[in-house]
Amino acid sequence: MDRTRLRRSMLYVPGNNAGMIRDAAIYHSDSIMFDLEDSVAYRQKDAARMLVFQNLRTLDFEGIETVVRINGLDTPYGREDIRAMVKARPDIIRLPKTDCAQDVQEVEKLIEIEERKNGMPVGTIGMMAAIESPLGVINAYSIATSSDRLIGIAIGAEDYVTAMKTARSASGVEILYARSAIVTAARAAGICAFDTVYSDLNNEEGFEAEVRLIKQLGFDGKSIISPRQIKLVHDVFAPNGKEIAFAERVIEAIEEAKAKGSGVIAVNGKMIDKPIVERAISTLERADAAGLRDYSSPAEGVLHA
Amino acid sequence: MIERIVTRVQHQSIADCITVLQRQGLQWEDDIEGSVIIYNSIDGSYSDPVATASYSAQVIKCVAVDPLFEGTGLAQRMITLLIEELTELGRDRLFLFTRVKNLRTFSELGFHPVAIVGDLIALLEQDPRGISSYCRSLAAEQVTSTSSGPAAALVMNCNPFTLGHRSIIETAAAMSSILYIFVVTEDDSIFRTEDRLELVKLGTADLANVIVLEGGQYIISRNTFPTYFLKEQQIVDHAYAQLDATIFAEHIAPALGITRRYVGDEPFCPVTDDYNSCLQEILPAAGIELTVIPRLEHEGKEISASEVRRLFGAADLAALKELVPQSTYDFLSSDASAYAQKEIRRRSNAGTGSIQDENR
Amino acid sequence: MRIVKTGTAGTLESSDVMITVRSNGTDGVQIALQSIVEKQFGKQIRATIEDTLKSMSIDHAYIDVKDQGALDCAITARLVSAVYRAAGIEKIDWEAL
Repeated sequence: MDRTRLRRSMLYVPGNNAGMIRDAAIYHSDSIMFDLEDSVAYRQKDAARMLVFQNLRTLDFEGIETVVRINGLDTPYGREDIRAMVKARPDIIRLPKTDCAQDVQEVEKLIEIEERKNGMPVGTIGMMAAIESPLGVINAYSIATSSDRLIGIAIGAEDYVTAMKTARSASGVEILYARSAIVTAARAAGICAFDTVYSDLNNEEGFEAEVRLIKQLGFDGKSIISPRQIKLVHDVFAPNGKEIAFAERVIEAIEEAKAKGSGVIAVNGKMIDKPIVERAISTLERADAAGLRDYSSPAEGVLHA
Repeated sequence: MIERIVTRVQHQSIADCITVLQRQGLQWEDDIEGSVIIYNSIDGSYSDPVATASYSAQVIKCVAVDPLFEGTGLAQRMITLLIEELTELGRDRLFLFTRVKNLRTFSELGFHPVAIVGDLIALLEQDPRGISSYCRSLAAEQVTSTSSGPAAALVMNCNPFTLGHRSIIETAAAMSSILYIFVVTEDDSIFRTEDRLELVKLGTADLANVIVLEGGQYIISRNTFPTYFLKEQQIVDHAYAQLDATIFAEHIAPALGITRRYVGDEPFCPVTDDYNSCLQEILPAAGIELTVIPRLEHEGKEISASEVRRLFGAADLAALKELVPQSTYDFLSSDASAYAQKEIRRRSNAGTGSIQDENR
Repeated sequence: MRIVKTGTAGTLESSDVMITVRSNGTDGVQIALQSIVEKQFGKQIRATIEDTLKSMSIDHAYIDVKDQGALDCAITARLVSAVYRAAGIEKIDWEAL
């Protein structure tokens, strides 16, 4: 389980769609989320579960993080989903409609039982929780800290706005509080925050505005419903030249200081502390992922040295 | 694109199906139980229907895709949805009607042709063994007779078995070495298939060269001949009648070595009359002779099954006794037939008119 | 496992396969394969199906396969689902898979 990897784009793939599962890896989103929940009709739950199971066990997803959204434990499908998916071994199991810490812990318990049964080290499978209700938003921090397995929490907007007696709008003002609450809780807990899907594939301007907004709010990434949306998300999340140059200098300065045995690090006469170093590392990761770094420069290899 | 599966057909949905069908020169059919409609929608509303497919019993039909959306996988999507729907309903031997020009699309989706009529219409089935395993089961019933005359067939509904039927069978049996009677499988008849079959067997037990078989899926069934059961229309869709005749000529007759088919003379029922003329077009060309047998008259009137049902509904057993063999009479006067009496009364109260029209 | 009814799984969409499992009395396993890649992969598809059936101890079944270019793992998935449905068993033995 990798807590720090890049998760800008999480491509949503309906669990009973063999063609989309087959092609999921070729678009190079950061994560792929196979859905056993809302995109699968009740009578196809068994078939989708089996299809995702066999695909996860067989296909090479080329290092892309694999996530499975299971059905809730309040449905007849949730427990069977866990039984099958732990054995299929995705990186992450995503829990829908999380209202409180206990929801996460119940799933965690079942995952642990299955891990032991399958002879896997306990803690192999990571977890993610989607918050989709007013109660979940209120409990965001206790959810975010409910389990060591959690790599992140996500907002699911559709059910939330309905429960709030409102509807989605272009500006997203109706979910601003929930977004802020979730990203704050994630930061306080030290895990990732993911934004909800944008479903109007034909409105690219609206999509770009939303991606810029959630990046500015502090989210790590966004769930997306089509490969067409990947590039824009990656572009928006890519750092600009000035940010990259600064980050590279920060890392260089650290190396220099280490070599000199000096404890004080400064760039452009400015003191460099831990948060700035962390941000620099993350900036360079995103820059690498977007192919934006010029490796002919002297900074080559510094980050990974 | 959004999909909408309509099982209890609503007015707006029918209108949307009809819109798509008419653009392709196809017609809605009244026995449709459920449909799937696909809309070209960007805002999630049910406007601009572009594809539809429907089902009745275990038959998928009235499939149409707007030419602008051909080749985009909509047919695959709709057929998958309907197969799921029908499997859920426990119907697992599916059939599909299509125009001959779309045959390839559906064979690629795993439907196998049963019969094709000219350049018009084709009947396909999902089970690749379907018609061939039916023919094999028929062949197992084949009897070789040493007496002279052709092996022949007679298809009857016998709802229920009357002296009229008996007379036709006697006449036909006397002119044949062996006579196969196919009793139409149809649970919408007043009398259940198993009862109708049993009464024909009992009523012909003394005729040594008569073999009674159940018609099954391929003889005048909802698969081969849907409009036959839409009696309100009082007209036969010619293409469907031709299809039924073709299946008989190409599959059933060869399986049993049948070279003659008898039909009852049918002056009062335009559906059957039309059907008979279709048989006349197709069977002789396939080497099967068609022979018309006049009906038995009783006191100057032909004996009809519909008259028997009327008397049975009115509980007039005395009058009825004159028109049916003893075995049928015993059945009608027993408790075992109470369900049918109830059904006759229900239908005549509901005024569906479906009991006065047919002699079959 | 014993086939007690007809079971279907999968779809007719591209890259998928629709598999129908029917009882076949005591006539062994029969596979009716129709595939858009039959020439290149017909043999491999049959082998996948036979292996999977063997692993599930299915000795008698009629397997109707309409393949639209599915990967082997999708074929296995659809077959296993269809067999379970045809056997009328809801509880999957994940350990055995």
